[in-house]
Amino acid sequence: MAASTDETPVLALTDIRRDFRMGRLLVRALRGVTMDVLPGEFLVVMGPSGCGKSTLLTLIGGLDRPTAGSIVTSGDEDITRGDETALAEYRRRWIGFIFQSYNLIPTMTARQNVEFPLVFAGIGRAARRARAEALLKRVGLGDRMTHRPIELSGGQQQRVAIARALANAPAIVLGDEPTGNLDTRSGQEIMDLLLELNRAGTTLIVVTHDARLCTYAHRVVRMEDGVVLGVDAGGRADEPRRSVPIEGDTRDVGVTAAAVRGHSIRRRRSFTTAEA
Amino acid sequence: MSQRDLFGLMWANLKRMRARVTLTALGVVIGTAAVVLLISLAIGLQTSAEAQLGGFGDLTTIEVFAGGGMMSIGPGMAASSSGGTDGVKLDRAAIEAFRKMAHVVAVSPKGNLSGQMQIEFNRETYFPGATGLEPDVAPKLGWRLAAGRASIGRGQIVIGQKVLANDFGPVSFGPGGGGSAYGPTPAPTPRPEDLVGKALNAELVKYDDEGTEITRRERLRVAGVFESSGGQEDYSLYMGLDDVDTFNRWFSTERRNARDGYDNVVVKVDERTEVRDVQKGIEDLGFSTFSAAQILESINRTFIIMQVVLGGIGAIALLVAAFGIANTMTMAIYERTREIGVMKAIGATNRDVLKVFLAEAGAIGAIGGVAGVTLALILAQVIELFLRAMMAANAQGSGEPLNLLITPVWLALFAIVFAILVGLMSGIYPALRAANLRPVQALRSD
Ligand SMILES: Nc1ncnc2c1ncn2[C@@H]1O[C@H](COP(=O)(O)OP(=O)(O)O)[C@@H](O)[C@H]1O
Ligand SMILES: [Mg+2]
Repeated sequence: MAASTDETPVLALTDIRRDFRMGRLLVRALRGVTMDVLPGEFLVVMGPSGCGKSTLLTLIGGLDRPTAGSIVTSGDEDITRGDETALAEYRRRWIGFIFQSYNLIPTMTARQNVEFPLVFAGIGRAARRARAEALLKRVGLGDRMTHRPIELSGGQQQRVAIARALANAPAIVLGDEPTGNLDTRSGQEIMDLLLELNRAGTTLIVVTHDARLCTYAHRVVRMEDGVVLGVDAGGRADEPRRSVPIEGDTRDVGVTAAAVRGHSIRRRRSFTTAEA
Repeated sequence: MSQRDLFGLMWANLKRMRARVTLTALGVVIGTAAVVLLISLAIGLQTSAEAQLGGFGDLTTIEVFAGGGMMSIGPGMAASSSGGTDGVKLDRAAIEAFRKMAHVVAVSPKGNLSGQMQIEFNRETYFPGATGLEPDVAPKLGWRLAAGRASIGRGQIVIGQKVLANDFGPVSFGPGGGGSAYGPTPAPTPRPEDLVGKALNAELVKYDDEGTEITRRERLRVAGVFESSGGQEDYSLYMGLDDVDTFNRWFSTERRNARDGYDNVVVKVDERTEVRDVQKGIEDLGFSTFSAAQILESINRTFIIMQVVLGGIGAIALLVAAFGIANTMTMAIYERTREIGVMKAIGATNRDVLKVFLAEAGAIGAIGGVAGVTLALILAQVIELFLRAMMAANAQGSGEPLNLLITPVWLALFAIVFAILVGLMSGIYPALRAANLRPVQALRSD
């Protein structure tokens, strides 16, 4: 296993439950999930459809609240206890989202889409633009800055979405079947891009059906029916995890930096490049 | 999110729902224009009514009449009376009481000539109204002289500017307005300086029981000429109270003792705002009073009610527009639910989402408000031109252009602010709904 025990996890999930009440029926989507996310790792979550993968990801991403359990960050904050604003702040500072259906704003250009998270982070125009352009170049879309989503292929749209997810230099990037809507070749390209980002220091959790992704992962979490069956070693289990030092401000962070901004950084100083 | 980014985002969103925003704003345009036009109408009517009231003159004098007495000041101008006070006499004692009241600066009995008097001047005959005053009281009443002196001895008169003017008499349309209409044989109105010292031939006329005309000739020397007040005073002639008494005794068949009391006393107050209280104090003593200030106040009250009522009618149109805005915003939220989810996923707070949608609703109000005020101003011009053309076609075209619609700057600004508020209020509910959407659910929607 890649994790050394003395390492502070980026996120620690303990006994997470999520019930959905549908009329008189109680759907228990997650029935006690406990797991860690280690800095710099590429974590793949696999399992049959309906086993609770997406539900887990939305909870990690702060888009929803668990019925029970805690999610504690390396900043020692339990995000399940914060109010709406605290959760919004967590999403902004800690999380980058990649959706299966890209979810770009159709009226905005690629660059504007990438800039959008920075708007809510209160970053100035010039800095925003520079960062968006750098990110788009990073994902190979330097020549598509002013294209709107409709003028881009699925693979290109997903690249824009990845650039957007990286905009605030989040601690973790979450992908819910990011290759699910793509043809094999585009899917492969996106996977390669994710691998590249992870090698440069981005912590990734990717939910997928696609067994090919396991070869990219440090660890593979196998889920079934709302519980974790086990954690397997991925194809890169022995490859060192690289985690970029945490810096103070998104504006100064390099394109590949998996850094968070502001106060939550204080307690995350301890890990740099973790060895297996 | 900075103000500038909020504005940019708002603008982009309005642009993408351009057709719907235009239609919705159109409702606001109509509502705002209706509010502005109707209130402008009320203000226009009030202003022209006030201009006509200029003929009442001084707003700091109170006319006092013997209790329960009959007065005929003019149609529709009832003096207030506290009734049932036959015993109270408007005599020296009463005058002293008035004088002791706070804020009273001058008091004078006024005597009105009870019969007909005509004056010859430059081979023309004039029929001025004549009023008797105490000899030196005029300056204290605030009447200023254009020439001569204000003290009126026996056989002396002080005249208003228009007593000897060749026009159609006391028909006043606003300050300075009446004098401009000349009769068919215009002769130059004499200058005040030239009149001072002149002796005028006056003729008093009465009829005996058989109906035979009896005339009495007097020579009245002009001691001074009042400055024009623009009011009815301009057409009056003032003489000593004693002269008026003498003439009235001559007119009257029965003998009457003037010291029994006066018909009319004028009270001058220092401030317009004190008129109401002084008037009340005098009425409490049992006298009837009349003041232009009081009339003006009640007229103003009427017009404020009119403004509110007309504004309210316009506001109903705005209310309809408000539902339009609420509907448009609700639609926008349905269509953009997924987008709201995305905004939240990438770090927008509920507050950010609220601000975005409120800004859009407010902007629809603002656009409609500005366009509505513009439309109202254009329509006001058109109506004005139309009315002027009608008046010109009505041959006479008499003087003063009548401003039916008056739109003050405050009204225009108020209307725009109001439209923005209507937008914001209509947007509150939809925006709150958007802000409180749970991100997972928003993202799941299609
Ligand atoms: N909002 C919801 N309301 C009711 N049931 C839900 C909701 N979201 C998920 N579920 C249920 O929870 C279970 C897990 O769903 P999900 O996490 O989407 O599975 P996966 O992503 O692994 O396919 C499913 O049975 C699904 O029907
Ligand atoms: Mg799923």
